[in-house]
Amino acid sequence: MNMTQTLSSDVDAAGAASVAQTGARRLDSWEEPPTTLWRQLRSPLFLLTKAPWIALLHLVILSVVPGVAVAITSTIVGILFLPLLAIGYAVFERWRLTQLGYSTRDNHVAMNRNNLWEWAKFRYQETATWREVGALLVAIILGSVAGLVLTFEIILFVLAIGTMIWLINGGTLTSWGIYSNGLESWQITQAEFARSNEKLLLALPDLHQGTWWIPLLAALVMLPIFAYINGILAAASGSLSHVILQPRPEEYEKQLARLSASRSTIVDSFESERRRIERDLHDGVQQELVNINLRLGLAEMEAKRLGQEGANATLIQEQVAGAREQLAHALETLRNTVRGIYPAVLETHGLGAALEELSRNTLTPVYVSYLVNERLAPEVERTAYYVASEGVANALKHSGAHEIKLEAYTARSMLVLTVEDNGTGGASLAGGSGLAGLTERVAALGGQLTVFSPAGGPTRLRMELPSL
Amino acid sequence: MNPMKIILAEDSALLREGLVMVLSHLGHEVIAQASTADELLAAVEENPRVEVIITDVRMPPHHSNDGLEAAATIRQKHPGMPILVLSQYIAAAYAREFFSAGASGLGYLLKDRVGNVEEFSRAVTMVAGGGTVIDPDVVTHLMTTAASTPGSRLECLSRRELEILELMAGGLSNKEIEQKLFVSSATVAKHIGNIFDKLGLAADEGNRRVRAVLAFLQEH
Repeated sequence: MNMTQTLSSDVDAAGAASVAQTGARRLDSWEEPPTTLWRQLRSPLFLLTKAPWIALLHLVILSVVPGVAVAITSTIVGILFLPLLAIGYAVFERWRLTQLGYSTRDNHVAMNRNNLWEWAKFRYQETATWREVGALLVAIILGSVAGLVLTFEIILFVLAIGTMIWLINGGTLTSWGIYSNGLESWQITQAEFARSNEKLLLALPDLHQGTWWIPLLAALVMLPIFAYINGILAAASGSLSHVILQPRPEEYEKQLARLSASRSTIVDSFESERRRIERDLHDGVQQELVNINLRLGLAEMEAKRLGQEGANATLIQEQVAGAREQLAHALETLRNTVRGIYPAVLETHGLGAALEELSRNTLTPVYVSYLVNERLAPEVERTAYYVASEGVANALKHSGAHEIKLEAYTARSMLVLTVEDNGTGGASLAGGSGLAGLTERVAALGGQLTVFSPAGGPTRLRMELPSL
Repeated sequence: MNPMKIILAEDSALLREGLVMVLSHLGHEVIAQASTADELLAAVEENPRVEVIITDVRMPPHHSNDGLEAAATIRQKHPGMPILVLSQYIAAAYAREFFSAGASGLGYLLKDRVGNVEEFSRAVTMVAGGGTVIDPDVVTHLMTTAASTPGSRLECLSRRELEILELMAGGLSNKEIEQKLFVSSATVAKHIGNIFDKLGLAADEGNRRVRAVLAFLQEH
């Protein structure tokens, strides 16, 4: 008795729509207005929040960037690695931007890194990479500015505090102020050091042991000013980075098309190989087995007739029946194998029908929920099918699960397929699993395959594939 | 068993030969053989006396579901023409489509079943007589699906009734169902009556047996 149960493809449209919307919301979230540093700067309570400290921290980090970047790329060879450095920097920068309240998203076409050379070659041709190089160059400039500003701030602050300590210890500074020669130059100095052509522009109060609080007051006034300067600088660098690194969906799609084209060879050879094997099995061994089955059937009938005529044919009948049973099993096994290799129904009736077939003939129930209303591109359907087939096969073989859930839906022009079991977990994409090969194929089509399978279970396999 | 005139379409010469052998053994006459869907269509036009058509699904020119498409074409031109389709591989989606435009005189079996000559012979006879034969493999699957789909008419059937409906769909007669389930003929008759009632099939609407079997097919 087959225990398989399936939700058919024509589930109510409302269900499909609600799932699609959930997916869309999730993918949309990066566009929501963030609480950026700018907004915090406008708040009257800015100085009391942790925002000034975050801004300071970011400027400190930013000021380190020029040194590191220049050190790495200063050699002739190093400059070739600038794009790779930029990619790494962008990962960091996106993290920094999220800390500043921006939502960010990677605009690179997803690929796996099995073949580093292929990966690098594609990345060097990607616009997103060169935008990141731009962001890095901007960061080098802004980082230098940040370094200067911070240095200036530190000097002023240390000077004020130092003066205070000096005054407390008996130092004095009298008759000083800002002197100017009436032209563009001016200096802060004491009367005795002023040049003859300079006039006192602004007299500064005498400093001695009794007025030690004046430099302290100056230091305390400096702090909020610095906080705003830092805040504005950090926010400006954040906005600039954000504008440069912001994902361009249209660009992404173009890159994706190019990647698909350049990798179509992989998919094609994979496909034609499977097609060839399936055809060989169908035209060859399957037909022969069916024919043997047929001949055995005739022999069985003949033996029966002999038995009816009074001959002792029981043994022959038993043997032939046994052979037919074994043959039926062989045909069944072969059919399941062929179904996994290249199911005919996938071509003619689409992914939903093929997934339904996949759920048949399994002792462990496989619940299919297929919420896609239209046919998808053939390579998308095939890839999704292979992932589902491999995922279900793994769950059946290794997980010891009592039930398997197979779900597919589209959201925001992505096909999402998940295979979930309640087994013991511990699955991975690495090594000899059939899924490892599929990762490459999914990546070639611009999608990604992830496995979440902690020891003890459950296992959740998730594939996202652009459904265009 | 009454001998019948059969047109056979199958692209594998080996298997075609084997099938001709079995059919002749059963006393039937294969009046034409075809190895492609187009040849089959031509053979049907040339042999108006044909009583049953037996065809493979995957044949030239497309090596896809050519046989099923040819069957649909033939039924459009010759409504009610008995056709038994044999396939290496049966998908529920194919079955639904195949039986969607009326099911009497249609059969859909896995090629494996041919090995059981008696069963095969019964299927040919049933289809020729306007009956419906669906491979047990597909039936089981469709039954479990339909029975567990909310809103399905089959939901109201008991386990036993479903079991009997399944056997009916496999082409078994009341008597064979009795033997298989070790129950009396009265019990089988009572269950079948219940199935008809629950599915709302009135006695005066022709072949209730076939329509009961197809009730779930049409629901998808």
